[in-house]
Amino acid sequence: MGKTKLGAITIGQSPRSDITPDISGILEPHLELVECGALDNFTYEEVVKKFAPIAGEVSFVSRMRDGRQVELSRSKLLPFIQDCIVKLEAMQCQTIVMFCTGEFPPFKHHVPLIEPCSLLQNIIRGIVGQGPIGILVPTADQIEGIKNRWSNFGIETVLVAASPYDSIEKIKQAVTRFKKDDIELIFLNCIGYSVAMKEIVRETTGCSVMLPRTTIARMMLEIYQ
Amino acid sequence: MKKVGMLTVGQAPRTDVIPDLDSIRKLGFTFIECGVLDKFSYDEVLEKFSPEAGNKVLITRMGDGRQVTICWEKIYYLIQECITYLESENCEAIVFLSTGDFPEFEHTIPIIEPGDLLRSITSELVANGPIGVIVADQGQIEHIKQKWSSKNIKTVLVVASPYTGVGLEKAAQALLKAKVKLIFLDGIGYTLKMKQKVREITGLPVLSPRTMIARILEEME
Repeated sequence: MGKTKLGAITIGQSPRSDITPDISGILEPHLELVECGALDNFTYEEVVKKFAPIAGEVSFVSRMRDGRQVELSRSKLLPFIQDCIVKLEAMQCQTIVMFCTGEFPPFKHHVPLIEPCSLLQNIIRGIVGQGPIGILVPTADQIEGIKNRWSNFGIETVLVAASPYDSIEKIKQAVTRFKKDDIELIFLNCIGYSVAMKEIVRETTGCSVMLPRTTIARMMLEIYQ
Repeated sequence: MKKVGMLTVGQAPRTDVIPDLDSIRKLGFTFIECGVLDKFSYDEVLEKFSPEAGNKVLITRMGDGRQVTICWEKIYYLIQECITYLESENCEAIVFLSTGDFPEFEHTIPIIEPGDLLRSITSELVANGPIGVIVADQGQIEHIKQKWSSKNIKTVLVVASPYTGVGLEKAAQALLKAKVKLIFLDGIGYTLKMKQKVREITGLPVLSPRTMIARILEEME
């Protein structure tokens, strides 16, 4: 069976050299990753100008090629994500996965498009029922929207914020709020959180931790291995 | 996470299943097994738990390897007993060695239900299908078909028991001909080798509960 071509879309810039080392051990040799970034054709200054979040709207956090964090308006990103889908389909990808745990309106696509947001919510509900679970998110202003999303899904949550693109000390500090006896699982709610961060969270709290990038890679393997 | 409870709706130990999860044991996990039918003989099982008209049918395995056909409704209380036992043994999570669609039980630790997890992934992947589903027994077809149609997913169901090994190749070929988008092995009895065989014959994605369990435990380790 030949290698399956999996397209991966980042809302920041590709290649996501911060993500691929954590998942290549899982994906190889069955899956080949082909990346596309919504911000691939823009400079940092252009991104800050053109994609700035709009107050009251859904905003995301992502990463430039050089590692710098950027904050982005979801609505301004949408056409560029759609362009990535078209590009990856033209490159014969058999499936496309969003390298983002955010919620999106529907895109046009001919091959399966996997959006970690609902997939991970379903997997977590399958394991913890109604919870409660602990969730780590990148920024404090995302807390309200994400808490609502989970409570609409029927799961009780405790949320704290610390960016994956900032210092690991801040993550360690934020998660001390999670007490092992009160929550069944911790979910790191951003593709930017790494395996190293997951291990720190686990050591600090003693809880099981679910990480989007590795969970998605394992699900891809379930489908294509 | 080190201690995981393995709950079977048949009899423990599941010497037919656990070897396929060896890769997980190598990561340092300890498994504690509990079987819902552990206290009963083969004849008692047939007497007490056989399905009647309208019951949801379940195929499972006795300790000596014999297949039995029972029904879900009669064993729910025994599943709860196993959960309570595994919690008292300080398990950090419980895995249901079954693809069934379970009601809510009382539990304080995570319960990994491979059937539900696989059904969620399938819904994310295939929109309306059609998908192929391989099941162990003719008597399961109706309620399994209904479960998928309530999610608006079209299904083609074929029968090939994992405990007798009969008919798997034919089932795979039938699904290939029916042009399904992926195949779901709807039973814990289907081995890794069977999954590989179906994948080789069809070239399609094949979702299987044993590999799903391994992947979730690896993630939660």
